[in-house]
Amino acid sequence: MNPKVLVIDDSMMVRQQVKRALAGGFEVVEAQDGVDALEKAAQGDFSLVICDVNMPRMNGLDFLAEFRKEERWKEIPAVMLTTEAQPALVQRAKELDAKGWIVKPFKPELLMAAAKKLMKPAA
Amino acid sequence: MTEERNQTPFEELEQALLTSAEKLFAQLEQPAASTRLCPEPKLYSEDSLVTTLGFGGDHFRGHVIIASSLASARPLCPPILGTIDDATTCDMFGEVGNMLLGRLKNEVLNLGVTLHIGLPSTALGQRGRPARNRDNARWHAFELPQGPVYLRLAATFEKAFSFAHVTEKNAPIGVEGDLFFF
Repeated sequence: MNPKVLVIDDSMMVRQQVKRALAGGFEVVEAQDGVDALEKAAQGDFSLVICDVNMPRMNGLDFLAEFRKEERWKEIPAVMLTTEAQPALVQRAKELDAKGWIVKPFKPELLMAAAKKLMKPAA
Repeated sequence: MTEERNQTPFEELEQALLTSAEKLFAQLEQPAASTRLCPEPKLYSEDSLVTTLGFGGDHFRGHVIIASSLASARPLCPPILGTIDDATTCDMFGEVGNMLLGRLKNEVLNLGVTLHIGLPSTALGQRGRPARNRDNARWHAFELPQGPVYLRLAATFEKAFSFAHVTEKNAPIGVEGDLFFF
């Protein structure tokens, strides 16, 4: 069984791109914003989170702050996938224990390599 | 140190937008053969797409409109799985707008300005018709391989606004496609 990745982005196109990029190596569960992602996170055992920053309802950094409050999710690696490259946002992601930052648009092979490098080892 | 600038803030932002768009279209493998200032395009038919993104920052605000026919827009969007319905098409074109404003944001960070961008709003057909041009707005046409894509920048600047020198503190951490591990 492939490890599960939670992909959070308000753009269906981006979620599809990520799904294609990770096909064959990961099972992708999609969420369309931070609120949706917190609900989905509670329903699965994820090895990695890939998260946009600018989204309606709850943005990616606020999601990560909420996500890290749960003891069971503290060790799940997260990588931000966004058009943003502003140092203040990157710093906040680091403080929330994100493990990486990718500036969109992304290369599929790069995303696959990053996912393999960052994913939480199986228990 | 203050550098004397020959361009108005609008022209400087406009230049950053044009540079961002040229780079984005090239990266999406639809390079622009030419770019020109143009009047408001007449493309608000049933097969037109219009995406609007607002932005703002200290002492300035505005919006960018991207307008195109479906035929010109489709090659900008990567292939996806499943059926492409109207909602999907709007989502894809909105993401193109999001990537464009993301690039603009990084371009102006290099000019010492932080730009906050809103979420894209996309309409298909007549519903997408924007308000008429104002004095502080200009259209540009990009001739892409499958047809023209139009951009309108509208922006107002208060007197207190200025582009500053970039510092290490506010410089963007990287460019599009970059990956960083912490």
